[in-house]
Amino acid sequence: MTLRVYFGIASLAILVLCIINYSVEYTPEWKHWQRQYYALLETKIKDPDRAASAGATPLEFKQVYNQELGVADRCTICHAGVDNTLMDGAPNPFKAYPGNLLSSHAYQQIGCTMCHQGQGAATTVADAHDDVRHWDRPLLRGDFVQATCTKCHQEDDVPQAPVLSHGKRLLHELGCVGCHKTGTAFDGERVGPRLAGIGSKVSRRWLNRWLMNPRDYLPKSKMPNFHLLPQAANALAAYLMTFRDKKIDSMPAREGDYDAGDQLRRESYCVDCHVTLERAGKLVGGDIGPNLLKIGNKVNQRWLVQFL
Amino acid sequence: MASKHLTDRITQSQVWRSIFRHGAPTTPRERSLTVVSNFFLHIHPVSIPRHALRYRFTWGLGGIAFLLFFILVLTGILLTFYYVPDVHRAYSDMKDLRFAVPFGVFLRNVHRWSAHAMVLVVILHMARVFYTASYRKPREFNWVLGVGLAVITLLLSFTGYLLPWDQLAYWAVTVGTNMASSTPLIGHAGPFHHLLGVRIDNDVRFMMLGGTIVGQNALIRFYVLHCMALPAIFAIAVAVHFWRIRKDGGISRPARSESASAPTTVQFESPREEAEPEEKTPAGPPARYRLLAYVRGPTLSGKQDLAEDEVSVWPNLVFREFLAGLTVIAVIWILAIQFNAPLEEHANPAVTPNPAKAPWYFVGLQELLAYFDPWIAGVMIPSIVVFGLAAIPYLDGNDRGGGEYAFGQRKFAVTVFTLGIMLWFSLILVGLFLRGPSWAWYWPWEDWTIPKQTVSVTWNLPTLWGSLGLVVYFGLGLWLPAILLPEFRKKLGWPRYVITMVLLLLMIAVPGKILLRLTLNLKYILHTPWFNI
Amino acid sequence: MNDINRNSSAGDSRRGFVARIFTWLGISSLATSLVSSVYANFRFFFPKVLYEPPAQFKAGVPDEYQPGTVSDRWLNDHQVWIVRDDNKLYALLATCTHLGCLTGYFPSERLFKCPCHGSIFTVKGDPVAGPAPVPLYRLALSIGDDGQLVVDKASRENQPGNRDARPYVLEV
Repeated sequence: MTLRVYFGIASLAILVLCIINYSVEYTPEWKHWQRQYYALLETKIKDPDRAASAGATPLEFKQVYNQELGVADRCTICHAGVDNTLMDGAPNPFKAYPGNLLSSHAYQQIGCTMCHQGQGAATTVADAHDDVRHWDRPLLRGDFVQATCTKCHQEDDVPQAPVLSHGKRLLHELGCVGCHKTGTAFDGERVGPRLAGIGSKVSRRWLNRWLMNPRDYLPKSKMPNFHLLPQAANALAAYLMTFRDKKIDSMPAREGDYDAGDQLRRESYCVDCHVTLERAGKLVGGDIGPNLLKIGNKVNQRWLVQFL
Repeated sequence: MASKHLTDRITQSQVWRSIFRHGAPTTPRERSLTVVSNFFLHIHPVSIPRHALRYRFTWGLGGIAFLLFFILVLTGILLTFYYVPDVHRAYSDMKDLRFAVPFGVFLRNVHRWSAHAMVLVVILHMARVFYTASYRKPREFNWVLGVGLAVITLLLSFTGYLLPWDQLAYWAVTVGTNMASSTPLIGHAGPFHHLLGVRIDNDVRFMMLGGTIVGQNALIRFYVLHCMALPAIFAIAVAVHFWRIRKDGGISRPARSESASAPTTVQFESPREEAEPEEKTPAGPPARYRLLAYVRGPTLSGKQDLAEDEVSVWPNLVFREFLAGLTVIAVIWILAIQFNAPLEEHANPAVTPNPAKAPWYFVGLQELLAYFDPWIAGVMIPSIVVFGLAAIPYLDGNDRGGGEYAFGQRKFAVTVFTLGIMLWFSLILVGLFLRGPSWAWYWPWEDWTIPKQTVSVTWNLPTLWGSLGLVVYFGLGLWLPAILLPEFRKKLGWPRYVITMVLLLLMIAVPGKILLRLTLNLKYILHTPWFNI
Repeated sequence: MNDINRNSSAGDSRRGFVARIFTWLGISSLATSLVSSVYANFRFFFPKVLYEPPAQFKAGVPDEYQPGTVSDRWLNDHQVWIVRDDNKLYALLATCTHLGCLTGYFPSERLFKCPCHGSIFTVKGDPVAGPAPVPLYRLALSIGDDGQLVVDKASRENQPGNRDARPYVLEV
């Protein structure tokens, strides 16, 4: 008799599990969102017949398939109004894609996750949007969504991506590629000047000071302060001073005419590009070329003659 | 009544009677016919001893293992409608099964949890058969078949594991196949491989993968093995396994004196036990051996034919089997609804997850790999274990306690086996719960994000001491029990004694060396240019 | 041990009653579960989504099509001709109804001709020569929310009469 009781209970348990399975399968999350979308759409259509038929649109599982990459995005199941102008300004997830990006980026070919990342194949809110364990391309939020523009737009200034463009510019200007590979076209660019012949150009004292803190001499220098110990800077300077340019070294030393030089400076409009004067605490001159006020401490005369 | 009339018209019709060749199983004769004339049911005999119904004897484990195999085949076939073994889409297909296929996620979960359950049940079944000594004569070879089936089960699990093509799959198979490359002689990283000119592109690992990397070739090979070759071999072996049980007299029982051989049960007599010579008819096969068939007639007309301790299979056994099946299905379904089978990131040859752990039934082996060279931990020890298991019926000199749980009568066997199982499961538990990133030791309460200091330097025994130690260990191990327990040695006879003791000594040596490693940082007992122990 | 077919009517009818309840509970639950499982298996074979080009596509606004012309704008991508005579628009599936080859349009004769076995169709879609058994299919047309024509390849009709009514012919 116990066997029969067990049979009844076990069979009932299996039936309950079947029912659970069915309810899980037939009441997925997305149907709720799509239903709401069509209800909202109905309120926005003026013509009552078309509105009614829009509101009664059968719920459908949709996807956008990027043929070349084999990527399927199912975002439009819930984000059904992404290309419907009637949905401008509607609340998410129903609103139309803001701005004019959709007209130049055909999502039907590229998909959505190409730019927005996230788990496009998923059909629940959590699996598509949240930090999903083992999905290493999470949805990009806020400014980060500009990050993927650079996949196609390699230029420095990317339209409609100001944060990205600023970042790219900084990357270039600050000379990050000097130490870090960035995977961009800048890799391999030389950030600093050639050091061949440096011993024939600069003075040893200047070089020491520069190595201890470059921005002490030149505030907008790309070279950072490496916090070298004095003996290290000394050693480096000693080493670098051995880089000689034979041509400069073998030039005869000659005295020049100070006043003639000063006059030449004024007549040649050096001040257009270089700071060459300090008047009443103010620096006078352009900032296209380097500040020349302390140039005498830095370079040796032979080199300057050769340069000029 | 009208309904009875209708029922009769249906059951007496030509169509019905061509399908069901017996009446309703309400009489002993009809019940016998129900079993015997049904292709599926006639795995069973017509009647069985009452003890065969005892749930707590067999726990239904063998049957449950078979049911799980059947569930795996069914769900597996359904899954192959949506899964393509191409490295570019296998992973997406797994995601699609989860999101875009009706009941896909449930099906996959059922498949995965049934697989884990089957491995566990197969191990438990093997333990049950051992503890009831159901491998005794004449069932020795059936035990060997069973060990083979267990190995095939593990291989099925291993090959199936690669198919999702995620990080878990890729690295598990990388490690597993690299162990194969440590096989002596035929693996490119094993001892003595240069003797046969074996390289990375022609060794046994190359044969498994169809290449030097785990790539598309490996995927299609594992797919074919997993879906066609191994299930076919398994099905055939399982059929033979069942056949032998029938021919050996059904579920084992304690040896008893003359059984009231009921005419309804067929006993197969081994020709070798036949004392009298065969009688040959002048022409044709020997007349002595005949298979009895169930025919109409007065002999099978009543319950009186059943012996005192026998019951008919229909419905007693069949109904109980059905209930066990319902239970298994219910349990698997509950697991499948509650827990999703894992799927990690897409396989990435450039990134190894840290830690990268094998599934629980292989993680014991992975733990072992921390203490022994790959050719020992990955090839020799598993081979010796399989060999040792298969040899059990032939090494067992004890003839008491068969067909029942009689630990007192088989102390040595039970102790050794239990020790072995416990050792194996300790390794599994350590691998599962006490190993963290970089396979360092992490207690369960410790934080995995805090790296552990590297272990101190290991040392090896000098070759002389090592060799001496091994000789002394095995020498004493073989000699001492022979002189201290001569009865034991005599009962086994020299060949069986030596094999048993060698296996036992090896089994003790494993935790022994693990302890030496953990406490003294000893790496190798014997360190040579060709191999290390 | 319990031989469950042994008659339990030995005086204990309540026990028998309970046994029957549970038996019927069991059998009916199992039967329902079985039927639902069979259906679930059946449903399993219909994926929720296809990796094929979508059945509907947007085809521009009606005014883009000149009266009295057959437009081949969507022939390459979707194998569809858009035909307009005066104010009636219809979309013809270019697939020949014989064995599926793609027909070509010959404007001077105002005929569709199939290269495979020589079937010839009029601009309305009727077969006038060759082995094709039935007319070319017209596809359902509608105007979308943004005013564009929406062609639905999954909805088709070729019988005269039905094919001249909405939605297979659109008045613009």
